[in-house]
Amino acid sequence: MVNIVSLLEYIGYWFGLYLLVSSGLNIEVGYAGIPDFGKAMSYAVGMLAVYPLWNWALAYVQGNAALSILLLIAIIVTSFVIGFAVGAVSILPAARLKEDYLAMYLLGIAEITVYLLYLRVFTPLGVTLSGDIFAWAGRYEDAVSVIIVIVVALAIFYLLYRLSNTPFGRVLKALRENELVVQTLGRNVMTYRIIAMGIGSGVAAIAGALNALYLQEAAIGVMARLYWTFIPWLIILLGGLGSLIGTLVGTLIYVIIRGLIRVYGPLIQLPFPPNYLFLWVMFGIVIIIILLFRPEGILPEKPILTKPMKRLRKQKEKERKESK
Amino acid sequence: MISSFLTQAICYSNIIALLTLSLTLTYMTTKVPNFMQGSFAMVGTYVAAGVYYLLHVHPYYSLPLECIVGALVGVAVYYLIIRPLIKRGASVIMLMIATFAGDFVLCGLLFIYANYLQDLGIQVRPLWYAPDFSLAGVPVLLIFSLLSIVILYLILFIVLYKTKFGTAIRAAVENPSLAQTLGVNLEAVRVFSWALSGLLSAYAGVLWPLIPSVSITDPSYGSAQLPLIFASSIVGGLDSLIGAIIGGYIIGFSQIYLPYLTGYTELGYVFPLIIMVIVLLICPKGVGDIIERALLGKKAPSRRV
Repeated sequence: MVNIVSLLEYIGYWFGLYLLVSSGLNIEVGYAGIPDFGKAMSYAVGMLAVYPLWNWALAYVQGNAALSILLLIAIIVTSFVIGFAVGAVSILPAARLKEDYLAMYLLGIAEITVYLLYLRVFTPLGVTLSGDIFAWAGRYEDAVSVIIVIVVALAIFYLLYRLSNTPFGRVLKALRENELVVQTLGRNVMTYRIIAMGIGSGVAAIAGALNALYLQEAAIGVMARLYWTFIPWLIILLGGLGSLIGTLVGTLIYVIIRGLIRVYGPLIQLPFPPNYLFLWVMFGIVIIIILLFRPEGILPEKPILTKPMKRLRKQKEKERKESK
Repeated sequence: MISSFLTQAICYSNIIALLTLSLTLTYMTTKVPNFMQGSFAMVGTYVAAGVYYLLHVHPYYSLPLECIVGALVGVAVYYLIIRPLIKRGASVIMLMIATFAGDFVLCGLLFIYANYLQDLGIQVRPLWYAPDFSLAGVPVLLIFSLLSIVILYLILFIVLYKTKFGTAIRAAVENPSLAQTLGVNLEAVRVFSWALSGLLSAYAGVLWPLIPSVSITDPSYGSAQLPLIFASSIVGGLDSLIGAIIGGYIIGFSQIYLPYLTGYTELGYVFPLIIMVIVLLICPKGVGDIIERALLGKKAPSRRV
């Protein structure tokens, strides 16, 4: 018998984390046009906010609900700042690079960082935390922590969604389409690139911090590139580049499929472990099919409706009705 | 007497150079960095392992078979993924994502195949491979890989500069649409480059596990090493054949020697990437570009093969 509660917890938890990482990535790729193949780095540095920085406080707040939530907010802010800084610094030297060179450069930088963190050369990652920030929930700890992860993710998603509809978001889209035009119109391309990259990385760093708090262990594995770079890319493609609502739907689809495979996969009789077929082969084929037949994603990007545009549309509709 | 350290560095560099050459070939003709390059090599490795254990043929003798399989994989990838996407006008980023989705598929299939080998009682995790021969105290791999690189470069050079098809390829690299107008069969050039890329990768994949210090943990080993191939390609310059070989040597030697020279022995994987970042910042066109200009004395900034 399948345990529905644990399945829901699994889906909800990964939904929260992947929503954070992929909506940040969509701001970078879909809006600013930066092919960030180094997402795993931003995710990994987010853990630094938990382990060396706030680890001492975890033991104090254990069991106290109010203090725990305050600390959680502090950790989220810290991880965002760290992620923002790392993302902004990582794109600084790459001002002149074209898209494919930029992608390979970011992949290389991220590999270096993740590998150094994995090997614990300069930082002592890979340790159990001194306390449990969700301990105050007692019996319902798992459910409460999953709900908190989802709430944080949705709140940040909402902020990003609002941000994408501001003039700032529109400049980013213009940047993606034609850098020269943006420059001619008096905007500094590099500033916008740095901010977009910083926001994307900062949001992914929050996911790293949350995961460390949930697992009570700050550690990054060798598979980081697969889980935190490639899969978010696949999610934003599934949902649609430049469409944040699409990312939400894409994440939901991905985590539900993953949850179902996790539960029902072992029940299928195959001569080899089913993960190979479902998580690797089928997933790759699905992405290629999407690229071939629906490259704009499930929910394609829509033009941003500014206030004057909305007014104009209403006026036109009125005129149409009157003429009828 | 050649020290074993130097031997290893040379053999390793040759293999990285072969993989970089195949990456460069497809990049030149289709303008997409192939994320499947590492898994292309693993095709060669695992077919060779299967042949060695099931038919008892040493990898050196079964090389032609792996080359054919590799070339077929390359052509299949071109026809199934790259060509339909190019026809639909996909951007470079779309093509890149398509190749890494393709990497998922290829890796998954290799995992299934490796699982099958394991069921037959063959140790694949980590892969236990045929031992290398030794000729008068020198590993055969050293001679073999060096000769392969030299002969391969000569063949490529002659094909590209002395034959009509080579001229067509260079024209297609320089300006695809203009070459097409003048009657160059762009399709043939692209298929040829993907087939050759698959072939060379499989070739490198067969030789890869023969290096004593390399341990192929599982079929995803190839894609795990992909950043190194990219690094070597960028260091050499993405569209230069001689640059690919030089890049392979720089990456190979820095991976084996730098950790010992600096004392950080576990950072073998990190140094090549640091070199890549430095090269990208100083001369984004790569070392190959500088060397070619110095050697050929040409000042015109045209793209050379």
